[in-house]
Amino acid sequence: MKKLGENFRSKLTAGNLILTAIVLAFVILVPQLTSGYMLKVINVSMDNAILALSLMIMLSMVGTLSFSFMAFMGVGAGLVAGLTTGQFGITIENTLLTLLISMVLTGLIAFVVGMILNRLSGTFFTFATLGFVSVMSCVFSQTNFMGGSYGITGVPKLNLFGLVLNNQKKWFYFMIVIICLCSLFISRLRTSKLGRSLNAIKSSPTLAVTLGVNVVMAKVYAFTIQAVMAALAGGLYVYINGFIGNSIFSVNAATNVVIMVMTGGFNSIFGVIVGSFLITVLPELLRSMQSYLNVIFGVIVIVTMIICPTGIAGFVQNMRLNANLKKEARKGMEAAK
Amino acid sequence: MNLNLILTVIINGLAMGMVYALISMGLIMMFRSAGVMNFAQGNMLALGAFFSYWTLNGLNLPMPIAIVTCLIFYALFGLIFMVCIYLPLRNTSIPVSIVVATMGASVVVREACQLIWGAIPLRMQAIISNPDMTPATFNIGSSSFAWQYLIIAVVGLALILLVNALLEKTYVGKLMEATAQDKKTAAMIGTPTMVCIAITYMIAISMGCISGLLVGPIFYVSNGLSSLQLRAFASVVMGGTGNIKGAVYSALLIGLFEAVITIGFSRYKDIFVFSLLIIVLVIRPTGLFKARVGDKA
Repeated sequence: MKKLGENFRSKLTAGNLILTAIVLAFVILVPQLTSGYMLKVINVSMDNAILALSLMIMLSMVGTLSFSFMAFMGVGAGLVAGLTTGQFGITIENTLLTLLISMVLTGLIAFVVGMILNRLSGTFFTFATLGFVSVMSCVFSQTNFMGGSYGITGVPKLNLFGLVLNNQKKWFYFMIVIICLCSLFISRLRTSKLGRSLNAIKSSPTLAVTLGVNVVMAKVYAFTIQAVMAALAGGLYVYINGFIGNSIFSVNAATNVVIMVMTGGFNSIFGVIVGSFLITVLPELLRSMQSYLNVIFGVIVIVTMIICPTGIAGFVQNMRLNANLKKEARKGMEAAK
Repeated sequence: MNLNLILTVIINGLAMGMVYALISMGLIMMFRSAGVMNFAQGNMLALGAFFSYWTLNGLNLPMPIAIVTCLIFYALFGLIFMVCIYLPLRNTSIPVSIVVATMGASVVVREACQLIWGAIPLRMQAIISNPDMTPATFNIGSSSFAWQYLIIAVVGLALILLVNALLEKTYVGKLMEATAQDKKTAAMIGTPTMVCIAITYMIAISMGCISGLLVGPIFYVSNGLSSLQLRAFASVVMGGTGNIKGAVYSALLIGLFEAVITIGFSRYKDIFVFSLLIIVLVIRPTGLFKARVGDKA
């Protein structure tokens, strides 16, 4: 208990306090100040954050870039939309149950795909997943899975045991809860057995084998987990919008999410969330002002990558590290005097 | 299957295969110098098409001068691209950051093209066209083919052979090869590595732009042209990422395969083309062609 208190006190720094204050201010102020379309954009940005967190599993824990999340988001979204509107012949009234079913089904598909792609590594794996996204986006846009060119409309609102999420304000709070749960899940996953196995594999696969880590399956499990999270993001996207178009789950959308994760900082959960918020909301703000500002958006991405390759979070971390080093150096100087 | 159909498939397939080969040759040259794929290569295609449209239809330059202007602009743009993306990021510890920088460059080029030339697809005149602006055709047997496809195949093949000869036969090519293989050692024996990389980028970007110039008249000139880059990625990866010839052969394979698939399943050709990529990779996890020993960048 005493250790817990100390642990808590050591985290009670000025930086963390400011961070908490900013987050609290965000949660309280945003629904008061914005409404309608802008609030919807913010909700979608939080949905993107779930997607970005799923990519973060692959990027920071497995260590390879994977585009597959977009395909699994599409599968999850299509299943939710299809099952709630009776597109596949059966209609499930319980919206929460539908979300769960689609996540489980997507997980099963991802497990099989992961087993198939498991042989590949590095660039080959990345571009095999890119090929998979291309295949799936063609399936989505050309077959009837997503209702053809009209998409699927009339998806019911998400019903949480009687609480119907029928306006964007309720969605905002719900998404905040979901994001917190996802973040907790990922920070738990990092310290779990799977996370430590992945860490070992990332630094040296050969060593990991000698330590008894199941190298083959660990990657498949991580692949499946990211697919389930992507399916959650897809299902929530359908419920937020109430309809689904057949061309949104494309390679371009996937590259956008990669930009989110990298500008935010792929090693930090908070950074990824901030990145997906910025990259979703910024173009929306810029577009309404001047069309040439979209060019500047691209320039910002390049400059971010040049100045801080580990993203905004990495930049902040580096600054903190430098400040600490300076402090220690000063202490040393005073001691020398 | 009748003869006309086979001829159509072969000519269309070879022409598109050559386009993919041009793009993927540029891609693989950059891959060897930076270690990552360039996600802006497809936008180079769109930029090349837009710029050639502007010189031909906007400035009304005669064809040879227009083409020379285009080539100079493409090479210059390659230099700019190298200075903006490669130079600042060449020593980064996280390769994905270069990937994301090229994605940012892709956004910049795309939005700039849209600003300058608008969002409406433009119709570009074919290189050989009838007086009434429709693309000229020639007949073999009873079926007619657009000259443009034949031009693409011939120009593409010529360019690929030319660049290959430049890389393998000339002194500059040897220096570029040395730089791609091992930058430090090449610098140690006095190779101007920066110049070599600059030339590599100029050639690589120009090849993307030239393929845009070639396909402009077939498809409409728009930012949608950038979607061709996915097939070029597929051919580079199928070719084993280390081997220029491998990438060219796989590009031709993908072009022909796509032409065959288009006969019956035009709507689903993406499914087949990229399934081919996945199947090939699952069977041969490091691509169809081995990297030549010295080709490792």
